[in-house]
Amino acid sequence: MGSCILLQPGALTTLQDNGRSGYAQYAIPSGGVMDVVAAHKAQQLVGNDPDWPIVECTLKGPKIKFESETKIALTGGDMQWKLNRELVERNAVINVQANDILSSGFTKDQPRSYLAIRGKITTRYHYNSCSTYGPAQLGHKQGQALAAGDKITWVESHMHVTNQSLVNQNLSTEYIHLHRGPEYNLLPEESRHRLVSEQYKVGPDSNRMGARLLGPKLISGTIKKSVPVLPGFMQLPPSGFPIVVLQDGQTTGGYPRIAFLKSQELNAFNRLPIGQLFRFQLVS
Amino acid sequence: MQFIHIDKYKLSLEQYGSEFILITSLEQKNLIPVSEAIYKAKLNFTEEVIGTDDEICLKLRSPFDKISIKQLESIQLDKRSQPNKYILPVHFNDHQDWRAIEDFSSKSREEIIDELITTNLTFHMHGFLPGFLYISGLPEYLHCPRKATPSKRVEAGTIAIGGPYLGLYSCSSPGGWYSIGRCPLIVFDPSQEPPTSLQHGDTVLLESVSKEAYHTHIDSKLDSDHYG
Repeated sequence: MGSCILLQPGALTTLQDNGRSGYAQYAIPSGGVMDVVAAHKAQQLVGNDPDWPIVECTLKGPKIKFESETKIALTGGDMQWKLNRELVERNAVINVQANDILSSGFTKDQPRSYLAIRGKITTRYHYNSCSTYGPAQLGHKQGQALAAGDKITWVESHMHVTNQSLVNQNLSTEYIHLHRGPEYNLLPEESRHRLVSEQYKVGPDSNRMGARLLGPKLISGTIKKSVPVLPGFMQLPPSGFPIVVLQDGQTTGGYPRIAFLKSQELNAFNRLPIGQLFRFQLVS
Repeated sequence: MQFIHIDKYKLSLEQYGSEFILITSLEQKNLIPVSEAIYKAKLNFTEEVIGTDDEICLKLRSPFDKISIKQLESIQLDKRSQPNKYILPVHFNDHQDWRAIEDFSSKSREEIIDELITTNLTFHMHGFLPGFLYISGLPEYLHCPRKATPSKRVEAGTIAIGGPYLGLYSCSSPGGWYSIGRCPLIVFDPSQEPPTSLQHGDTVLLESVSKEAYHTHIDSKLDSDHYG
């Protein structure tokens, strides 16, 4: 068994994996890592199974004291990771010793950063996933974020670190590709045009359930009854500011679903720094 | 757009790339029973099945082709001779939302409770949040529109009214429905597979219990026909 202890939790540090699919019927969202590409890359670097638990850090990273020797990898946003006060490289394997301290700050770019620790983190599973989901107390720590003093323990792995080259998936965040959603037709021509010709940004009150967009206001007709929604769906509430449903989002909603992002495009979207301007591009 | 049949339902099916499929009724029929049947069939190409009154969404795991349509069309709906009956004990408390319900319905709290505990309600569907139950069958005078500004926190176990439905919040969350009481039972247990035994069409009866009885039954599990 290896272990480390959180000295400071950061802004929102949770344990995640690839989520629990197949339970949306019961209004249980899939959850899971917000940046699958970055998370899998970190797991691969340390020789872990991509389905194993990983530490997801949001906006401001944690401070962690290692109690045993291991290998770690950091991917995603630049949270100025330091090992014993020395800056360390992201997207590389880092050897850590007992008593080493990993610290970090606010992200300089992408909102999420991943810390993979070689080994299988011990946790609690609900429907085959440890993904932390607060509202229904699912996953690690019954759905709670990691806090100062929390210990992370893991079973050491005997898997080989594969040297296969990492697929470098360059996800462009300059343009986010959109597809017409089921209620796209409820948008008048002018709103259709604004959606793709003007700039948007992800608002600060976004969370793992949904990204609230700031930018040009759109108008649309309304729908009478709740309809199914999936992560990646863009809803238009009466405020006129679109919401993109994310990994922990509700499974039904009463707003027109004007557009949707495919999984890979949602991955790129989730990398957008809060407040950074970008454009949508409609593809068919 | 394609047209398919599942059991006696005439449906239209629209595919959105390799991502998902939406199914709607050509006869304006409620689709919850169809979505429950599709979910139970555990078809290999579906990753998620989400059913609402008017629409079923299938998130695709693998390519959707002619075989997938055949698989869908071979689904038979559950022919249950009788729905299950569930009794939900409710402590009707003095929540401040009662005043709005009394105003809206022009009836007293006591009259409303009397009607609620003598009405055969029906479990309709899941949705909104894990373990949230939509229960239908409320008298029309109780169909209060949702709150303009949702309450910041509705406690787990709350029984509330919103539109045509009685709702049960299994998780604490913000909510726009009017609270009328609390149910002590666990109706949704994520350590179980499936998390709840309720199915569309099951009969739900409310039983008024005292505050003391509420506390006695707290965390008991919901069971068909009885509790505690």
